[in-house]
Amino acid sequence: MNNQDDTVDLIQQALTGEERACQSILNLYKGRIFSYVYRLVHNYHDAEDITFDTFIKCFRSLAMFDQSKPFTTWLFTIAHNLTVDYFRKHKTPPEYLVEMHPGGDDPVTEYERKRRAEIVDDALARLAPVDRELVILFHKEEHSYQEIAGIMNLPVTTIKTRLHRARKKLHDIVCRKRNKP
Amino acid sequence: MKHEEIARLIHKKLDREISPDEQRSLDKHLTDCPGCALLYEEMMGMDRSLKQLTEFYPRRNFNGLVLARLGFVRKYVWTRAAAVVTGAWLATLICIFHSPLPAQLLGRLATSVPALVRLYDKAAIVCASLTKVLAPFVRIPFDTAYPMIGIVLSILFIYFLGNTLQKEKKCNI
Repeated sequence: MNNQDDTVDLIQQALTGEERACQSILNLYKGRIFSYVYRLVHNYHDAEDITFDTFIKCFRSLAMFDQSKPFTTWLFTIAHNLTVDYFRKHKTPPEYLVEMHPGGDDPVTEYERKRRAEIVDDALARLAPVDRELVILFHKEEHSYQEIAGIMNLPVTTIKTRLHRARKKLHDIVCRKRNKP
Repeated sequence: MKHEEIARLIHKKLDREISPDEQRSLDKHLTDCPGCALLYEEMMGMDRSLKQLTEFYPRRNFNGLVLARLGFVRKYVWTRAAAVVTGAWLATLICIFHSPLPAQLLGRLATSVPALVRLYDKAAIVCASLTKVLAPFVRIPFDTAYPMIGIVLSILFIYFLGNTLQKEKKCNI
């Protein structure tokens, strides 16, 4: 059984009001949604509120979800729309988290990996919100262009052009940061 | 092949849209051109770093908050009360049967309250009657401890039943 089938089973159980199925859905997706929202709004509490609203909206409209389509795309669409609403409502100064990277065996490799990841994460924060969102959805979440077009409600060609531009910009920032003493 | 064309192919690879022929041309060029090889390594490294970006999590009670809003409310008060009552009953039993001091103390306390003496007498009469009734079926003598064990078992039964019913609680989403 693949992930999509597992998710469809969980959705069907959640629709009958099974608490365990709802818990499983939350455990599977809350990290991904929260990380995605946090990297866009850069405020822990606001990111948590948006993630909370995303799941409430998701569970309340679960009956309307077309189970032949990917659940993640639908969930990310809800999160995207709520984040856009948030940006419309207010502008807040960024707030950073203390990052925790998963541990590795080789300390030197682990240090290098951490350093690279930190540089890329910092560079990501310097991109425009739309570009940042595109990069996260494509590279981190591994959505296809069609899925991102559905989530962000933009044409595929626009997404492709913007992503290429964002990638180049990200590369420039990363190179500049790496060359800094 | 021009360097601009190679940059385009690198983006195509990152887009997961590169064809086998294009991949071959790219590999061939990268072995001969250190500049493009560096760009390729940097872009691929960036892609790997983006995939490995740290995953953040909301607060620990996040699931509880979402489920509570959806109408899944757990009755923890009942669970705690049942645990306390069951524990208290077991502790009392252990004190009565395994320590002489509380037994003496309880005996004095019981005899000093006339109502308790009368209650004990009535319980003894009930136990004696039950012993007579059950004698043909049960070979061991019926003791006053049995009702206590019965009560404890009943409390445990109610406790586990309560827990089971609570776990099966459903909500209409």
